[in-house]
Amino acid sequence: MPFPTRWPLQFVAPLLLLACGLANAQNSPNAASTGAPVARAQAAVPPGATEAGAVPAPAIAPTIAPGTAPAAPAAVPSAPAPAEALSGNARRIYELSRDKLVQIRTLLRNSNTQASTGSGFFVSADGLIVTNFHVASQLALEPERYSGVYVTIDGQQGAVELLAFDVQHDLAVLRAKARTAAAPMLSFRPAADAMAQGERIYSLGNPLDIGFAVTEGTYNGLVRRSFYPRIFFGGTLNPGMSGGPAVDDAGRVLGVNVAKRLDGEQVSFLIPAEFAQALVQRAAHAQPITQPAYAEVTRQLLVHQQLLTARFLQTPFKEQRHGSYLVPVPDDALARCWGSGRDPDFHALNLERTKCQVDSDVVAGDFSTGMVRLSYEAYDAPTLGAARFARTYSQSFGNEPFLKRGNGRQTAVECTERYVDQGSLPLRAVICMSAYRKLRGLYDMTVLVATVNQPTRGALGRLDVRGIAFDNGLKLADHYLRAFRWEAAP
Amino acid sequence: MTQLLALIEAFDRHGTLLARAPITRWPFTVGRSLDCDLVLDDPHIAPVHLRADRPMEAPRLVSIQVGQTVNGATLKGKRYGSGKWFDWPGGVPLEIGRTRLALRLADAPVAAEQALPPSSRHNVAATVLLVALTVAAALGSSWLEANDVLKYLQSLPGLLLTLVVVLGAWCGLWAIANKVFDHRLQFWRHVRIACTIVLAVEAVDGAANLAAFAFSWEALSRFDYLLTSLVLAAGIYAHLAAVLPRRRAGLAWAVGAVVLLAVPAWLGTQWLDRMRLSNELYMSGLFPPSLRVAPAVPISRFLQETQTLRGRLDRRLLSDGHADDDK
Repeated sequence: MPFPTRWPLQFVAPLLLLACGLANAQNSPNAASTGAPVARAQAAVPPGATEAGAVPAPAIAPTIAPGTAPAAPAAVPSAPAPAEALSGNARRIYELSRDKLVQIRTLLRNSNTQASTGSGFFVSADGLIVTNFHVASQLALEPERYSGVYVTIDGQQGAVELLAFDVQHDLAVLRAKARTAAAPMLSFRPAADAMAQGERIYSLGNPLDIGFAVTEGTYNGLVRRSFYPRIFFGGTLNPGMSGGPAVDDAGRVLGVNVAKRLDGEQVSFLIPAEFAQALVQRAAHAQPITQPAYAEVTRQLLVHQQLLTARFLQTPFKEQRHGSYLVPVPDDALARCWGSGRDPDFHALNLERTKCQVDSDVVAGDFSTGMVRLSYEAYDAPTLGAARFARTYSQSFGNEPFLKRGNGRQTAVECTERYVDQGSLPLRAVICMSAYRKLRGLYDMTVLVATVNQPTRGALGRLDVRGIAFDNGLKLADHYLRAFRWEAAP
Repeated sequence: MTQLLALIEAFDRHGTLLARAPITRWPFTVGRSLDCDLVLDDPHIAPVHLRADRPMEAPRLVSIQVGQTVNGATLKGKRYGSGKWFDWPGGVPLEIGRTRLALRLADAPVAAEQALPPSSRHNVAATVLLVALTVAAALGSSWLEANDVLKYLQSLPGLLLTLVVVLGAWCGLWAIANKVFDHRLQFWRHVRIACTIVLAVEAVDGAANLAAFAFSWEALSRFDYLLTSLVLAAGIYAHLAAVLPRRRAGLAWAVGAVVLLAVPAWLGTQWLDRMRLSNELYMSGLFPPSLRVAPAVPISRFLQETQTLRGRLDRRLLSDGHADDDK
């Protein structure tokens, strides 16, 4: 419920800057809309290209520290670090790994032009290559339009075929076709051999289609509140490095490059190697995917939303107080929340905002889904009068963004609405859903809530869940609506 | 001195007097010929279009004989061709060509005196009241949306100026049309009409949204634009009727036809474009809670009703026009 005049001042400018950064990183149509300053360190496209062929950045982590706007991602470095800036270890790691690295290119079949690029690495002598799903998603979903090739560090290239993918962890396994010689390969670091905070790690890939590079950084444990495990890499990732390996001092793969934050310096993310290992085992005997794999993507997304729903239903909401209103927010372990206090531009209106986001988004092709967001605006305006309060409250309740017109990906929303009351607090509740066309059985759901018990006070709530099954959506809506409470001041 | 037996007058389609002739003898003739008693310039009239007489055996009737004419004469919608005879009752207009004739007989009773329209004092009072109410409505609406008294006060001059300019321009254009077609400016009459439209639109919109909130009649909120459109159509008709007062019936039909065509066309466009008849997804007008009459239902019942979304979305998947986008 962005307030008509105030929201943009606080959030739009930073988002625009972020969007510029994202455009530079050939990323996401979603980033601006979600405020997520995270980009996939993924496929590069030719200079001047914008979103063509780019896999969208997921809506991930809120980055606004309490009461502050996100910093601009200005001037994200777009070239690999110069060799002299790297340590001797980095040079050694690069020399050890260089022949195991590949660049993954997706090409338009009819023109053989490059649509996007990412990175990957050999993990078996018979030519299995690990990369990100968002690098290879076009091969999975539109194999009739796109083909894939790998390019080694010395310029040799060959066709690849997609064997398996893991949407939830953003991984894919390809096979280099028609390869005669055994491929040099990287080995995985055993999961039992835990990393210590601060250990040096080295990320490799081909940033921006410029050339293979190594960047050095530190291991900082797992990302807090990430729905799936992610390694916090204190180093630089750049677009085009997606799918590349991150290795330890011994050259063993401990993670796969996947994303970075645009509002910070050297805040990047890796997928733990154990998930890549599991997928490689599944892929070893798999048949190549030659038809659009929407059914498999849908199956994996249904698993994802089932996990998400179970996690939400098992974890009771926390109650967040706004005056006498108690509104539900997810547990701190599940979501990241941030808020803002009284807005100085509204003298007669005490307005508090809260936003929460679960880092559960997954790439489902050229868009992200699977995320959960909550937001609240609590109003208290004792001097405004009931009529004026009602007008302001109505405007805020009415200016919610929705998909009013269908598109090739999903339908326009359909809504139901009612006054509901679970005992202590009457609410105006609205549930809107839109259906995915090719991910049958998955929906985006929005629940809007306006409290209607006080003439000059109120709370507006919004719950967004993307990529949810219908019945699970209603379960979450039930869970959410029942959690609103009113507790009169003593 | 010659006795005046009757007075015949000719008007054009807009009611403008074209010619007038006193009748001092029976019979008399009407046509383009200079020999006629009433000479007209209408090219659709014959040289001697008709001859009027008063038969001795029925002195209270005027008998008409149509002359050699292509277009004949029309009385009460019935056309009489060359050589036909018919009686012309007093007070009924007779049409020949594009001219309308009116006949006043000397021995016919004179119609009673008609009262003047409401005095200008009443009009002034009504005008002042309507303008005051419109200004109050605009200020009130602006006040409802203001969160800061100082900013509201600062915005008042601009608001009032905008109101005066828009109202003046709108009414001025109608007044010019009035002057062109009816030879009277009637500016303040159009001001009254315009103010009435504004107030009626505000009232209908407010009442619809209030009823929607109070009784949870979402359809009223969703389709209040249709009620508003009807009010606007009535207002446009009032302006047009002031400009062309003799064509009220035709204007009413015209405005009605436009509404009957435009509303379904608009609804059809909305349906084709978005598979819904209103652009509003849900009722967003909230009023003070004490005005709510509709009961709140248990959440479980609401969610049960929400199950209908599945079928509605399935229909959209099949037929919202995007199903084949990527094929």
